Amino acid sequence: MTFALILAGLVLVLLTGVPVFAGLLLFATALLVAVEGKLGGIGDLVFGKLDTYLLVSIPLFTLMAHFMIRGKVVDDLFGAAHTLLRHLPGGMGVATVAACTVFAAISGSSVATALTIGSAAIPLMIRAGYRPRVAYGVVGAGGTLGILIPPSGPMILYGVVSDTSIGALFVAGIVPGLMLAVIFAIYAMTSARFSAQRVATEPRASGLEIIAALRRSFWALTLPVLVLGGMYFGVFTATEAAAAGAMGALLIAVVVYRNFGWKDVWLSAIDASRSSAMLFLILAAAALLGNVLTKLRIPNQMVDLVTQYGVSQIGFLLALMLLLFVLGMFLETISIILITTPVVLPVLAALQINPIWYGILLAINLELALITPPVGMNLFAIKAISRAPIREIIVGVAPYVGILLFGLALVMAFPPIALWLPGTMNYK
Amino acid sequence: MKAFRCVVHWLAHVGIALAAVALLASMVMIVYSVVMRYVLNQPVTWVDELVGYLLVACVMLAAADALRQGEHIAVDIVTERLSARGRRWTAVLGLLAVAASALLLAIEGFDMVVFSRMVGLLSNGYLAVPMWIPQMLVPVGALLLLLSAIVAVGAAWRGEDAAHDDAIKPMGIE
Repeated sequence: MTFALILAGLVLVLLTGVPVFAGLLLFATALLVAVEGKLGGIGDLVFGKLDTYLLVSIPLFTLMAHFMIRGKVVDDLFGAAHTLLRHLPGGMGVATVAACTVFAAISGSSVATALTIGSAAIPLMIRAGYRPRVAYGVVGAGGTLGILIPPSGPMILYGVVSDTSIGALFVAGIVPGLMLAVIFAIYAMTSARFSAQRVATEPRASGLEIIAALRRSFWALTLPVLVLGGMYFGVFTATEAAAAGAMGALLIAVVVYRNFGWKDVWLSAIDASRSSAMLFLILAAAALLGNVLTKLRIPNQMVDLVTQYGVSQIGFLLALMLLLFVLGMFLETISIILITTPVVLPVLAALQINPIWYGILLAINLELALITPPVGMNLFAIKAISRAPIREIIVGVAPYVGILLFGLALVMAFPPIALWLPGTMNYK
Repeated sequence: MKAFRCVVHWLAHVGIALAAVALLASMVMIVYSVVMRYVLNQPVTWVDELVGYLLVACVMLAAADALRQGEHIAVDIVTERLSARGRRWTAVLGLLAVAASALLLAIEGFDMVVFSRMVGLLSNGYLAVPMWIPQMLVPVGALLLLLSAIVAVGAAWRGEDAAHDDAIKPMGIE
């Protein structure tokens, strides 16, 4: 099949270590020339893809997270969570999951979540007597919540490519995200209880300590309420929520924390611009590939194939999840979304699969992609913090791969886990 | 050659500075339009269109600096197992691919600009600007990226600057 060949060719090109945007662009251009015999229209396509109001939300959410990090607003998230949860068995693991969950609601990135929480949590956990692999596992897995719990960069990309409401996608991510966080925490508690190397539980925090911890993390909790509440109640569009969130983060950093200067504003904006540059060039290159695939009538062929063989909803989804899982082992999340979505969408429509539900299934799959070797960005992030051998990190994360697969199966079997909350939304 | 490198670095600096300004300006304008809509009940008509152009500016003008900082995403599980010489070769080839892509974007972008000017294309929104002005950002940014890529190929050829891969950049969106 043409698509399988193209997909395999593309994976091979990217494995040469060529920057993804260049690999995609040259690959797509070569295909275009092979199909049409000439170039043309690439400039318009690139400009048209970038000139998209909705996409501005991605750098703005990144900017918001930068303001919070540079302003030290989220500095002690792990400390606060530890105070509240330390009396539980495996208390530091549970605190890590909780801190990741809150950070995920501020940042749209899993790697940022793993890096920020991990650099606080990993050394403390190891010092307290946890086995290193336990610490790596819980940070790696907790970090992946960053792209399922809104805001989420990958979900915005999916929403833009598939023309699905980003507000609805965000709201749909909340319940599955919290559900996975709870399962992660339960696993951290039970595995600590039955571990050969038990760490003594710590004493419960006093009332005063709890108040101090809540005061420390109060401001970090206000922004998710503003951003998500604003979208849920239809006050903001996604882009407006991102701009308001970034502005709110800036105000908190400047007015409440008072350690934020022009230099910090400037460096945050530069970092956010840089990361969006590489991201959006990939987006533009993938759009060209999508265009060529459409010219080759590959999306139509997929629909024909599915209807011809009478593939059921669940059969198609299972096959697709398997494909995404395998791709996730070798590619990073952005390419996976951008390459598969245009081909999959017509089939979703033909089989009447809800695109919001699929968006959540895709996001959980991308969480898996972040922690499945050989290419898993969270694995690399933890390696960068801890300097541990990658094998040790993979072993630590392995049980959470199982948990995520279980979560994926749950959301597939019970779509309301994802679809109930957006159903109650005040649509805009 | 050294002067050329300095000029390219300086241009990349200017590019990223303009990109950062574009991003901050977008934030301020969007908040302004929300405030106008809810508080003064006067929706601002031109913000959405202008913000779209500013995003093009942000992306195209930051690309060269992102390359210089080694921020372009690549899959390096195979290449990191190669010998030092193999790594140098793959680095050079990867950067040549970036240069080729940038050249392609510059040429195609320039064609787009020339065509828009020829037919006098205006934007669809309230601003009705001549389209070639925002479209110009594509060839200009691509040219900047091309220059940066050429400098980077030279550096990689001499075996400099292969170390940046070790650091994970914290703030992509993955």
